[in-house]
Amino acid sequence: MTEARANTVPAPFDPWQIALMTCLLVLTLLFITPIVGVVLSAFKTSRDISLGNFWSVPWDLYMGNFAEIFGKTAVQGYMVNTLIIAVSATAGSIALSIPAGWVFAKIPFRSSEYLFLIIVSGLFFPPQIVLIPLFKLFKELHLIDTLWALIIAHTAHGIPICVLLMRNFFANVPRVLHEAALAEGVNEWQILTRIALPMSLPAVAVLTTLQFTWIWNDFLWALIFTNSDDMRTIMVGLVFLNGKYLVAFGVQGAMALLATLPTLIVFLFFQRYFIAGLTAGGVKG
Amino acid sequence: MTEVKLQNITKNFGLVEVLKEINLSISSGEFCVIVGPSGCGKSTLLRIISGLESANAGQILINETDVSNLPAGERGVAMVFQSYALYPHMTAEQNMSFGLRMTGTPSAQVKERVSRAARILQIETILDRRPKQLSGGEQQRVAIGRAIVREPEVFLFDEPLSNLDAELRVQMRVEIARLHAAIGSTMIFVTHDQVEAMTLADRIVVMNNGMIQQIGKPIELYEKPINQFVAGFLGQPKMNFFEAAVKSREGCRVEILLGVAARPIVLSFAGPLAPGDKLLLGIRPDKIEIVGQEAGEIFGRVEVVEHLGSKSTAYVAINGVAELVTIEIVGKVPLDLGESVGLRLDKGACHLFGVDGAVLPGPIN
Repeated sequence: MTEARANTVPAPFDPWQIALMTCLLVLTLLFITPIVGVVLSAFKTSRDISLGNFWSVPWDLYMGNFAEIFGKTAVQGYMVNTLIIAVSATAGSIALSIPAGWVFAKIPFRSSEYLFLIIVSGLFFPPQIVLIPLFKLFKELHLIDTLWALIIAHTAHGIPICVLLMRNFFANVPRVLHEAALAEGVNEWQILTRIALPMSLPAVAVLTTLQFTWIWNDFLWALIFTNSDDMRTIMVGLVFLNGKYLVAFGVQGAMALLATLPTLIVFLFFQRYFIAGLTAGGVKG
Repeated sequence: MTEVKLQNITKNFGLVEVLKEINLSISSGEFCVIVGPSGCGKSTLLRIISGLESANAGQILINETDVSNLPAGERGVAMVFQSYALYPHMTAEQNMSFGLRMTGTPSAQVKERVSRAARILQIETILDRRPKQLSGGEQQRVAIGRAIVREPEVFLFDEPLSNLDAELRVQMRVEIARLHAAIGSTMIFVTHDQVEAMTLADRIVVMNNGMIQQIGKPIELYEKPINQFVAGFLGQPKMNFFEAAVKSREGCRVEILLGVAARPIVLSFAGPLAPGDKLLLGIRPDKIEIVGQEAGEIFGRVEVVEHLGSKSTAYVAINGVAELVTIEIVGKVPLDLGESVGLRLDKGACHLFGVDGAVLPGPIN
C-alpha cells in the first residue's frame, strides 16, 4: 500500500529531464520525418507531388507506383541480386566467424589473442578506405560487375564484428559443459555445433539481422563494383529510377518501402533472440 | 574390473606447485575418496586422471596401460561434475545419450543403455524434461546417468553433492553407495566433506598442500591419524588440541602438563618423549567427560550447548586457550550457560603430536 502510494507521488520538476526529453523528441522527429515522407509519397501520384502536396495525407491511396515497380523486370532483378548478395555474405561471414569465435574463446593457442585483435581491428576501417584497393583487386580478378565482388567484400568486411560477437558469446558458454563433452569423447566440432551453437542462437540471430541489414542497405560498394543494370542492387537501382529531367518521387518511395521489407522481415523473425543477444553478458547470471 | 595407478604426478600452475609427486594405487572396484580442504589439489588430481588437465610429470596407469597422453574421451573414465554440467538445451534423455550418439554407438544400444541407467537411478519419468525443469537431485541423477551409460572402467566424481541441500545430500550419498554396490566399478570421489568421505569410502586419501597426508580405511584414519592435519580434518566435531609439555617420565609413565590443566595428566606411553619436550595433545570430543570441579583435570566455563536429540555438543571456554573445547555427550545433559565445569580426558584416547604436527609413535594406554 505504502509502495503504491509512493509510486503515485509526482516526480519533482527537473529541467534537465525536460531538456533531455525535448532533445530526444527532436531527434526522433528528425529520424521519422523522412520515413514519413517516403511512405506518404509512395501512395501519391507524381502529379500530386509535383503540385506541392508532398506532406499531405493521401486519403485516396494510389497504388499505381507499386504497380509500376512490380511491372519493371529490372526491379525484380535488383531484388534478386540484393537477396543473393545479402544471404550469401551474411551466411558466409557468420559461418566463418563461428569456428573462429569458438577457437578464440575456448581453445586458444599461442598468440591467439593477438590474432584476435588483428581480426577485430578490421572494425576500425570504414569501407571508403578499402574501396580503391578492393576495386583494383577485383579488377585484376575480373570480378568487377559481378555479384562475387560484393559477396566477397561484404563477407570479409563482416568477419571482424561477427568474430568479436561470437567469441564473446562463446566465452560465456560454461567451461564445464565443454569439459563434460570432451570427457565423453565428443570432438570439438561436435561440441561447437551440438552444444555451443544451439546455446548461442541469440548471438547468431543478432549477427544475421545486423549483417543482412547492413549488406542489404549498402550503396557505396554496390555502386562502385557494379556497372550494368543486370548486376545492380536495390539501393543503387533506387537512384537509377530517376529520369533525366524528372524525379519519380512516388515510384522511388514505393520502391524504398519495398526495399525495407526484407530487412523488416528478418528483424521480426529474429526479434525474440535479438534483445536477448544484445543484452547477453551484460549481467552475471 | 579396473585398477588405477598414479605415479609421481606433479602439477604446476605457473610457479605454484599444486601437486607434488602424488603416488596412489586404487584397486579394482574400490570406492576411493580423496578428501581435503579447498585448494589442496584434489580436484586438479581428478581432472588429471580424467584427462581434462595434463600433469607436468608422472604417469597414470589404468589397468597397467599408460593413459597419461590419451585424450579424455579415450581413457575409459566418466566424470560427474559438481555443477552437473548438463546441456541446457537437451532433455535428460538427450543429455544421457549425447556422448554415445556422438561417438557412433548404434541407436538400439544407446536406447538400451539409457533405459537401464534410468531404471537404476529411478529417473524414467523425467527423461523428457530439460535440466531447468528438474530439481537439484534429479539433475544430479541425470549427470550420474550420463556417466553410467558410457559403461566406463572408472567413475570420477568431482564434489558431486556440494550443490545439494543437506537432506538431499544425505539421500544422494546413500544412492551413490548403493550404485557402487550395484555396479561394482572403480570409483574415485573427490570431496571436501569429511562426512561424505567417512561414510562412502572403502579407502580415504587425505590431501593437503598438494601432498597426500595419509591413505587408509576410514576408521583407521579416524583412530590412527598420522599427523595433526589428518586428526583435525577427519571427525565431526573436530578433534581438540592442547599445547602441552612433558613434566616427568618414569618408564612408560609420562606426566604431561597441559598449559591449561590444573594438574598433570598421566599417560602410559612407550614412544620417545623426555621431560621438557613440547608437544600437542589431541583428543576427540566424545572422549572428554564433563565432571564436577573436584574431579576435573581441566576447568572451564560452558559457552554454548547444542542439543541434537540423541547427543549434545557443549563448547567450553578455558582460560589460556583461544578455541573453545568441544565435548560431545550422549543424550541430553543439563548444563547451564556460564556454568563452571571440570573436564576429564580419556587417557587411552589421547593422540600425541610433535611440534611439527607428526604423530608421536608409540601406543598410549
